[in-house]
This record gives sequence, structure tokens and C-alpha cells, in this order.
Amino acid sequence: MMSVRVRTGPTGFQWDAARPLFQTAIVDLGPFRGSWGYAVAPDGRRFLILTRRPQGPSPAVAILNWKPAD
Amino acid sequence: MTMPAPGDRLGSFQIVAAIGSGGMGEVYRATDTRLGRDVALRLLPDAFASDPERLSRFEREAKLLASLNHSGIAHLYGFDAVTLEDGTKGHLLVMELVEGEDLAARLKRGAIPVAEAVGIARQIAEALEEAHEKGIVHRDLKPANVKLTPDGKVKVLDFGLAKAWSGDASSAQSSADLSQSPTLAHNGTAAGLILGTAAYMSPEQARGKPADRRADIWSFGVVLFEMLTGRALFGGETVSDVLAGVLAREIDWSPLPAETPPHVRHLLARCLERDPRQRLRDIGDARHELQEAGTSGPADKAGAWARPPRSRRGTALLVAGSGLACAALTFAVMSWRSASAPAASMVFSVPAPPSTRLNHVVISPDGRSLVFAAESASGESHLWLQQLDSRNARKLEGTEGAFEPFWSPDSRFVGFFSEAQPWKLEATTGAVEALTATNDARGGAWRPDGTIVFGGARLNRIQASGGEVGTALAVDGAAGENAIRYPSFLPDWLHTLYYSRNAKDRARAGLWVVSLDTGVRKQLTAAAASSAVYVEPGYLLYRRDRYLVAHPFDARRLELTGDPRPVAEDVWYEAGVTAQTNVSASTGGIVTLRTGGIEVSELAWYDRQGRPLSTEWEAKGFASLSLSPDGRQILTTLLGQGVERHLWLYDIEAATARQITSAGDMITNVFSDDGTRGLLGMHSGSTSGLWITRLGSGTAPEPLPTKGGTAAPFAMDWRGSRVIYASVTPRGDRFERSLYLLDLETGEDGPVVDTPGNELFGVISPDGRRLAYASDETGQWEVYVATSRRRASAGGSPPRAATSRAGTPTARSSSTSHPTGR
Repeated sequence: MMSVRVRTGPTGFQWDAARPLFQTAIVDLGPFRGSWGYAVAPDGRRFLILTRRPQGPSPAVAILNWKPAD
Repeated sequence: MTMPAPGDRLGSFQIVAAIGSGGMGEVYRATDTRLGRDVALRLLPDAFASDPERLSRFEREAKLLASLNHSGIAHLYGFDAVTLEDGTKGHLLVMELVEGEDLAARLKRGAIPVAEAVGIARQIAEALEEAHEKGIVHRDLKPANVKLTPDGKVKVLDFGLAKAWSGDASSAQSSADLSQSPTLAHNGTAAGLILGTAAYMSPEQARGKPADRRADIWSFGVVLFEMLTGRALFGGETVSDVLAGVLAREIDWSPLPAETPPHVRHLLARCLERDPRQRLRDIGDARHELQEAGTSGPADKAGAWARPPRSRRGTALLVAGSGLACAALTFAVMSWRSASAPAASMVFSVPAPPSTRLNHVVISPDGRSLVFAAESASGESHLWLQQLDSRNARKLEGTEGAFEPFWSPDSRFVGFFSEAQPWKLEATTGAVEALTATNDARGGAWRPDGTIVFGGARLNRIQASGGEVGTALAVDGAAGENAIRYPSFLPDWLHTLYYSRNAKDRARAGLWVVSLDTGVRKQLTAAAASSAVYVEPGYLLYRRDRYLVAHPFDARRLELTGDPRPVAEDVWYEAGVTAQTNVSASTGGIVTLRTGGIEVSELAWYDRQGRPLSTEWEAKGFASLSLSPDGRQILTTLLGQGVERHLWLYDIEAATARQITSAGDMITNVFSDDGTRGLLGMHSGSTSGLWITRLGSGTAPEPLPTKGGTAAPFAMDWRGSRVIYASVTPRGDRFERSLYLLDLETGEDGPVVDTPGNELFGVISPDGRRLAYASDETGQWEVYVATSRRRASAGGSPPRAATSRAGTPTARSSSTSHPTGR
């Protein structure tokens, strides 16, 4: 999660460099799905994040001599 | 007896040349002057002709052999007695003259490619089947008795002559009989001939026991093994050595090439059973195993591109989720190569590389390596390479951000995507090279001629050597198609499978095939929830719900046949219509797949330091997230039955969930300012657009007319009476997203940001004066802030510009190239 300090006023819109807030395990929604993967609570102190669950130790298999079920 | 010379006449035959000699006499090329055709003449030796009883027996056998009439069998025309130049009597076998190289000569140059070897073996099996059905056993099948004709045909020579020669009704052929092989020695010695004969002899023949057609099946297995490996199965310096091998030596299967299909291994194991009672009983079964599309032999147009077949019968059903480690996989594969082919399927766990999260795993075509796309704890993705004969995976430097790798057909290179472009990597050296720039890649496939195709808003085409990216297939925008994803070549390398995403007509989504030559495309099934991979002997593997299914497929007619049947369950897939799953197959039929079912996620709270606080609801396959302005409710989408996502409203305090929509496919959603209504981007039937629903009313959402394109609407933000939505508009063969502003009170509706790139994720500032959004106008995703007078861009990366939402300074960015995280 990144943050950027911004300032508005008579001089227009100004911004600082982006800086990381914290590491997330946000779900990869990709740009073209157009869906938000997070939201900020009204108090600005909490983040609701669509988070990936931890993965098991063996998330894939190899199959030798496969056959469709009868 | 004086041997005839070129120009001599033997009865009606004029000698052209001597073409070989063997234990059963000299052989000549000759012209039959009566019929005007070239023939092969075998002049039987004196000792034979001086034994009237033996001669009579031979003549009877020859008449039987002459009844064989098959294109794969050299024809025996007749048996004649002639007077030689010196006045003595001679006896001739008149045979079909077969032009071409014999298989023994071909094998001196090394192994034969698998597809070609399978094609030759199939033709040998056809010939044997024809003879066996007539009760004729060859008894001396070996490479020297197999001719490869210039037009790609195979002819088996000297059928039954061993029995005819020996005259033994039981046809036992002891080692003492080895010199009696009718096979010719063109340049070799008699000792060499004997050795060559013994090496293909069945164990029962070697023991001097009666031999039946199962002896031919053994010899067939020995010949097939030699074709695949380029080395004799039973070698030795003496006949005794060779026979000892035939009788007792454990067969070493390891020389078989990795791409040897499992069913061919299985067939070999059945042919090479020493106990004839346990051996394959019918050569027709072998022919059936080998008779597959695309493997019709050396003359096949597909040539070296053809993939070898697999058994139609296969072996057993799978159950994914074994707890074994990768070491077990290594052991299993190596054992599988070095022992008899397994009768049952085996499933082995493939763990992710150490301290990583696995995103993708793909097996190489030669079945020797796995490439992983895996993320480290810091979220950075790399490729990892693991040889199956090694316990350790190797991280491949220079592959930061890599996803969805794919192999070159020769297993030397890996293609992958990163930072909005395809790359290639040489597996042995690790050399990495960027190919081109693109902004929407989903799945790639690599052809032997170096053509790479990859999916996205169209099917792209580029050469592995570089150059400009072109269009292999544009989306059919008029029909609602809005993405072409996960291409995978068929065995002819001319057609590719792909998944078609269709925003308007779900019946036209699903699995398609297209000819890269003609562009002619065809839908195979709308029931596929992913693209497919082709696996011999004629199956497409694709996902349906949580199952990997095998659907019989005629690759020549490009038609699904029969019904799909499950191969494995608990297949991993994403929630939604991305068509992303992860299934791969080696040429030899090893299948890998990512498991775990639908990608499950949590609605998790974190504080500003990233510490986890709590979770809402239970973990599910959530596909979007929107929080009400008062922070008490969550709008999210969940996959329903089939492929459509439905909207759910979750009350945080009450911990209750209510389904809001039950029809249509929900894409995006946002709350109104007061939290009483939802703005939805949704596909419903043939309509795609924005909809408004009054939350909790129980009434159906109402469509919201808009001016922007409606290929895939994205509801982005709703502040007061103003709505920001992303419009998707086809431009040429691509789709472009731009931002529109709709005022619900005045009805004003028009683009606010529209560049040659894509704009998404528009949000209105709390004071309503600014709009922040993401754009890839410059070729990479960046965050912009616009006002009514000008537009500011952070440029570069980082820093990226920021925006404000709900009165709280936040940033929408990610550690990778995409604004929402890849």
C-alpha cells in the first residue's frame, strides 16, 4: 500500500514522492477488471483489503499416465 | 552351382544385379521378361535343392505365403525351378522388388524421431496383423526385414520364410538355426548376421521352443525400442551374450526419449514380456494403440512437428492433492522412465520454490523441467526452473514481475510476460530478452517456426527473434467478443485453441479454435471455463467448474467428439470470467495443474502499519470490494453457479449477508454518498451497462442509460449527483477504456478523459474539483489528477500522483506495474 502526500491551494495541486505504507497480499484483480481491491475506513485509520489466503505447501500436482473417469 | 552374373538369364528372368546374400541363398535384382517387371529373385542353395522332401515342403509353404496380399508385405510371386548356366537345376523364389532403404541401414544413422518411429511401427503392425489373421507368423522380424520406401511406405520382407526354410511345424528356431535366417547380409559377415538375428528373437525361440505369433509381437517390441532409442535392446559380442540378454537381462528403459508417449511405453512393456502368456496377445491391439491422427509416418506432412499419440484407454482416474514432496515427483518420474510403464496413473505434489507463493507452473514439452512463476514474501514475482531429476529449483534472474510462462516446443526457451511485454529466456544460460511492448497479455504459445502468439484484447503474433507485434486474430467486437486469451497450439501447429470472452453473448464465450493461416474460427464449446491444451491421443483438457475434464477431440476435423469426463477435481481458478486456470502437458502426456479450487480471499482489516486486525465474513472467492461511506456495509461480488458473478451486501455489525442480484454478471459496484443505493457495472443478457439498485429494497436493479460505449462498463465513483464510469470502446482491433462523467440530475453525459491509452479507476475529490485516475497513456500505468483547467501527472514510477477519497489521504498504487496490483 502506497501513499502520496498532496497539497491543494492557490498554487495548485502539488504532491510529494510516493512512499510505502505497508506490505499487502492484495488479490490481483488486474487493471482491466476495473474493480477496487481495497477501501479505506471513514476514520482513515483502517484499510479493508481483499487479501489472498496463505497458500498450502503443495499448490500444484503432476499427473503421470492420466485417464478420464469412466 | 555357378552363380549367375548380370545379363544371365534364369528361365524367363534376366539378372540385373546381385543385391544381397544370406543364409537362405543369394538374391538378385532381375527382370521378368514375360511380364516386363522388375523382381527380386532368391536363388536357393545347392544343399536345399538336393533334398526333395525339404524342397516339397518349402514349395507348399511358399504357396501359402503367396496368398498374402497386403500393401505392407512384400509379395511372394512364385517358386520356380530353372536351369543354370552350368546345366544344373536351381530353385528360385520370385518376390516383389521393394525399392528403398531397409530399417537396419536407417538405424545406423541413429534413433528415429518419436512420431516417425510410431508411424513406421504402426505400418509394421498392420502388416503383421494381416499375416497373423491368415495364420502366418513371420518368425524373423528385424530391422533388416523392414523396407522404407521412397514414398514413405513400409514393407515387411521375407514373411514366413524362416518356417518354410526350416520346415519345422512347430517353427522352433534354436540358436543352432540362426544361420538359417532368410535375412540378407549386404556387407556383413555370417557371424554378424547370426548376431543380428538373435537380437530380435523371442525368449521362447531362443530356448528352442515352439513359436507362435506372440514371437512376432516380441520382435516387434524390440524393433520399436531400437527405432526410438537408436540402440539395440539386446547387444553383445557373442551369440551367447545376446541370447543371455534376450532370456534374462532386465530391460533398461532409460534410453527411451522423454517424449515417448506413456501408452507407447506401456505397449513396449506389454510386447516385451518374456512369458508369452503375459505378452500382448494380438498385434492388432498394438496397431490400434499406434493408429492416431498426425502420426501417419515418415511421409506425413506434419513431419517433425507431429506429436506422438497416447493410448485411448489410458489408465486410471486421478485424485489431486497428494502430500508427497517434489523429491517424490523426481523419484517417480525417473522410476517411471527406468521401469515398466505404469498401469495406473500417479499424482505427485509439486511444491512451490522455497519461501514463495506459486502463481503458475508449466511442464516443458520434453517432460524434463518445470518452470514456475512464484512470488517472494515481498510480493516480487520471478521465474524459477526445476529439472525433474533435481531437488532444487533455480531462481531465474532478470525475470522480475514474470507471469504466465510458456515453453518453446524444443524446451530450450521459456516465454513469459512482465511489465507489459513478452520476453524470452534461454533455459540453460538464463539469457533474457524483451520481445515487444504490449499492454494486455494473457497467455502465450510458441510454434516450432518461432512464431509466438499471445492473448489479450486480440490474438497477437510475434517472432521469437523479435520484430513488430502483429494481429493474428482480431476480436469479433460486433458479436460482443472482448478478449482472446490463453492460446494453445494443436498438433498441426496451424490451429490454436483459445478462450473467447464475450461481454454480450455468453453463448458465444468459451473455447474456440482458429486457423492462423486462414483466420477461420470455430467455437468448440461454451461450457469451457478456460482455454484448453491438446493431449494425445486426442483429448482437450479444460476446466469445467472445479474439474479438469478430458474431452475427446478430432484434431483433423476440429470437432469435439463424445462427452467430457473428469480427470481431476479441485482445479485452481480465479473467481470471474478471466478464464485463467493453470494446466499444462508435456508432449509425452505428463500433465501439471495448479490445485486448490476457486481462488479464495479474505475481507481483511489492517491498520496504517499493515498489522492485521480482523476479517469480515468467511473466506470466499470475492471478486470486488466496495465499502459504504459510513463504513458499516460492504458490497462485493461472488461467483454463482456457472460463470456469472452476483452482488452481495454484507452488514458488518450484524455479520449478515444478503444477495442483491441473481441474474447477470456483476463487474463493479460503488455506493452512493448516502449508502442507500449501489451503482453497478453489469452484463445482463445481451446488454452491458450501468444499473442502479436501491439496496435493501428487494427490487431489481434498473438500467441507467449512458452515452459511453457499453462493451464492459465499469462503475468507478459516485459523488452527489455525479457518476464516473469507464467506457469500453472498440477501436480497430483493440478496446480502449476512457472515463465518462454522468450527471444524474441534468442527464449530461460525456467523456472527461479520453486518450489513445486506457483510463480507469476514476475517483472524484472530496471537494468535487478534481478527478484522479489511472492511465497507461505513456505505456505504463500511472496515476493522474485532473482539474477542469489542466491535468497533472506524477510521471515516472515512482513517484505516482495521489488522490483523496472519503476525506482520507490515501494512495492507489502498487509495487508492480498495475495500479491495483497485478
